[in-house]
Amino acid sequence: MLKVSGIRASYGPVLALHDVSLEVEEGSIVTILGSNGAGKTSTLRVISGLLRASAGTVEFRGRRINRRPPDAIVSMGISHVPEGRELFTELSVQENLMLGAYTRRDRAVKTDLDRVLEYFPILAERRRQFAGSLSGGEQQQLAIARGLMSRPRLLLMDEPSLGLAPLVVQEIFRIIATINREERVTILLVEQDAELALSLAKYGYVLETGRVVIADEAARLREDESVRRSYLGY
Amino acid sequence: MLTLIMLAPALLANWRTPWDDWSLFGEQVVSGLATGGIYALVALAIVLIYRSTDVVNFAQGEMAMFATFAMWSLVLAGVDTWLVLIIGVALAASMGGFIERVVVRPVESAPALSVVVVTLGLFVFLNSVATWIWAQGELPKTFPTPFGTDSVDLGFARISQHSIGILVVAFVIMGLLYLLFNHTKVGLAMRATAQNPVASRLMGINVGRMLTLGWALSAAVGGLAGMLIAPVTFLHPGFMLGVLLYAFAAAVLGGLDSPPGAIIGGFTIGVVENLFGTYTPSDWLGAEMKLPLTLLVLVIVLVIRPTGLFGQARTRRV
Amino acid sequence: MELWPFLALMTAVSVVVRFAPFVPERYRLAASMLVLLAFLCWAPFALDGFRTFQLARVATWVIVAMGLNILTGYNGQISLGHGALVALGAYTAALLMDSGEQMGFIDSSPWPFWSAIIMAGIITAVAGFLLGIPALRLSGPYLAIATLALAISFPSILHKYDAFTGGGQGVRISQPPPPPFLDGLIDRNQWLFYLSLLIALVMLLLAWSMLRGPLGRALVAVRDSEVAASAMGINVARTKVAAFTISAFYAGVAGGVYTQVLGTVTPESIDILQSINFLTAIVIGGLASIMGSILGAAALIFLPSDAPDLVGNIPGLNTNIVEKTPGAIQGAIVIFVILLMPYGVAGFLHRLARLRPASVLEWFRSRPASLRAWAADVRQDLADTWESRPWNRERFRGSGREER
Repeated sequence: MLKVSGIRASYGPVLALHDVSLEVEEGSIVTILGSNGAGKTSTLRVISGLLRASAGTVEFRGRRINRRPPDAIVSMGISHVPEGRELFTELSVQENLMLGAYTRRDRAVKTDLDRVLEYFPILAERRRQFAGSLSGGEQQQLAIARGLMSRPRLLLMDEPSLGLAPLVVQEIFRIIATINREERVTILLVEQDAELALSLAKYGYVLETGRVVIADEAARLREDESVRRSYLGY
Repeated sequence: MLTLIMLAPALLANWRTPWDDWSLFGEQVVSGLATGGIYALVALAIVLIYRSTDVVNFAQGEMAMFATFAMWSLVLAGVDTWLVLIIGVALAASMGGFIERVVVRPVESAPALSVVVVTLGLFVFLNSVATWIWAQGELPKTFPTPFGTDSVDLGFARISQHSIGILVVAFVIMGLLYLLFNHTKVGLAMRATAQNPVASRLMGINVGRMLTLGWALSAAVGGLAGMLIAPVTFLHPGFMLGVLLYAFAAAVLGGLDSPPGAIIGGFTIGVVENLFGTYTPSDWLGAEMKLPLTLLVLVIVLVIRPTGLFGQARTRRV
Repeated sequence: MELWPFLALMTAVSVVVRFAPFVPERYRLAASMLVLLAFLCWAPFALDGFRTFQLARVATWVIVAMGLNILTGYNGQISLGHGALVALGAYTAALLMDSGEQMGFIDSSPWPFWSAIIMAGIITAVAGFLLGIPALRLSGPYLAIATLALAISFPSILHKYDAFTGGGQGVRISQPPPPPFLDGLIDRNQWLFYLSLLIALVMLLLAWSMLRGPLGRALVAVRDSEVAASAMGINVARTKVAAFTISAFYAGVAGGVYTQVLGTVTPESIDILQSINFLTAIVIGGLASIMGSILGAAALIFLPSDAPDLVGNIPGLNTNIVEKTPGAIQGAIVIFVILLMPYGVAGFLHRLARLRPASVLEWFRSRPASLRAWAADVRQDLADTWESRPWNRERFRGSGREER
């Protein structure tokens, strides 16, 4: 569904991605692992159009998207839940969700809103509250819910567990698994919590200083010596 | 409450006071509200741009002046006044959008002070071009009012129909803007863009287009304000300058990121200005000091509330 | 000699000396400074009286620009009200130097010009100190508008209290004549130029040495992050008020020099437009830069007087229009300069100096491309807007469960 080939990208004079290639199969959960600064977030930003690649291509469902602006990419069915959530803190929960559906012109937005709130009942309670007043876990849920509102086929998630308590993280990952299963949304997940990510994912890529160093099925990655020692801690 | 503070010294000396002549007071308050409506509109335009781009648009007044002069040309050509209004507002909007796209967008990554200087350059540029196009021959020009020139007796005061017209239009515009921003998709998108441009792009919002729209809207409101005040101040290339200064004072008074603040600030400044003009003792202050006095009120408020009455202090993460 | 050839020659020679291989490395900067100084001393004899007068005014504005740069460029506090401070200094000096006719209650023997100027600076510095304290509470555009309010109000105050200030007529002084040992060699106009040049140099030197030291670093630290600065032990409040005071001192001295050079001061001498122009000048010239202050001051004087002529000489432009709209030329130039050099001319030159030839070439090669890219962007915007008109929407839909 998604094919990234030979991406090279930099922030000014700093080269963040040297040569990144990966593939995401439709309907699966794929995870990108790596330490800080490895280029995981940058990869997602290239895919969603926030960062321009100086070389390489990104293909989504057969169409080249790497030169297109973010708003076009969202309309094509990719939704990016960014690192740090980036909510509209001065707007209400409801308004945040409605903004998620900005590119949609069909009538099913309202039913989708209700459906999304079923997944995240706590958001339904806090519908009219300002997004800035929610707790960390609730904000992450809102960010994911907002991402779902555009009815994406591919959901990019950047470190959903960041700064959250373990129990909350488990709950969120449970929801992610449900979304993938029930809504058939393909998920590309960037995570620091390698253990959790690998338990959920089907396939995994390990990034190091802007390059893919390991690409394998998640189950095999969990067994892999080097991965275990570097990223799983044992 | 501001007016009470201001009038307190009158108790100490033998100055003219409101209770000497209530109908005069009433008239001054009402006409102050009318000019205040204009200040409120221009202040709204300023706040609109500031909220979405962190830029203080010093060219606001001149953009409005330019549009008003264009409307005057249309009036002179015999076009019906209401049609002139529609065309004029559309013209102002396209001018605002054009300026954003062509002049402001290329410098959006520059330090904010540089962008402000660009608006100052625009100020001078527009003023000069308008003078060249329209200010040949005698000045100032008269601008017709669509509201008629009679006055209406309210019982405790007389006010002109034009003033009533200003107030009505001002409130209608404010209402429309409120509806736009709070109950439409585009309005929501514009609010979102002002708060968090990165997240907005991820929602599929074309941030650039929202900015252009913001400037276009702001210019349209400004043009309308220009058209409303021109019959009173008469038309000459500098006629928006005084309005602009008071509008800045109003926007800052209410808080630069607060649209309701701009409105309240506008009316307050309008009334305070008029009352200062009427009631300051002429021996050692005098009506010509009404501008410094009004600005003094502004500075006092700022010292008490550094981000204006309703502005929000920007909390910065270190 | 004409002004622009003179300036071009001066720049060329000093640049050559600055980078000359035949001068030892250590002396290059000093040598080029000396060359500049020599040219400036020669200027009143090479140029005519009017140009000399203009250069004297440039020197005056250099002092203001430097002061404003200390406050806004180095310390980040925006002031649109420096015109009022300059006017305060100008009036103070004028009243002190005046033969006392207008001021009944002041000692009627006029002060000599140098002490009048210093006093003007001190009084204005006190005013700056008093302003700096409430300014601690304000920041950004709020501070800008508050200072603008000051600049607007000052002329009205000057008009109103005409018993002190001479009202609309202003105050006239008798300009100081050249000292006896130079009498006959130079005329008053030239003498005034040397005087302003000397004072400007002294003020610039003071600024340079101050900015190199701990105060300079404190100013910049506070500008960049007040929290971080105070965490490093800098007293933020004291630094900010000091910036205001010093900046006001400069403005006051400049006002005093202004009175000298012009011989008279009225409420309209330094109006709000001038206040705003000071800020424009240092932004165009370059914030937080001594050279930027100099360039900005020069632009302030020469843009209004010479730009319309220079621009009118460009072939193809309708000179008729150019004549009638001098303001449009100025405004357009300001806009163009910022578009091309967002960090001011000095900022641009600094970056230029750090470039290597290869990257310069690269930049030049990329200009047509970025121009084309900009044009393409605008075209794309228009196309997108046309495409998304309400009656013609064909958007690629998202996933949609209905497709499965």
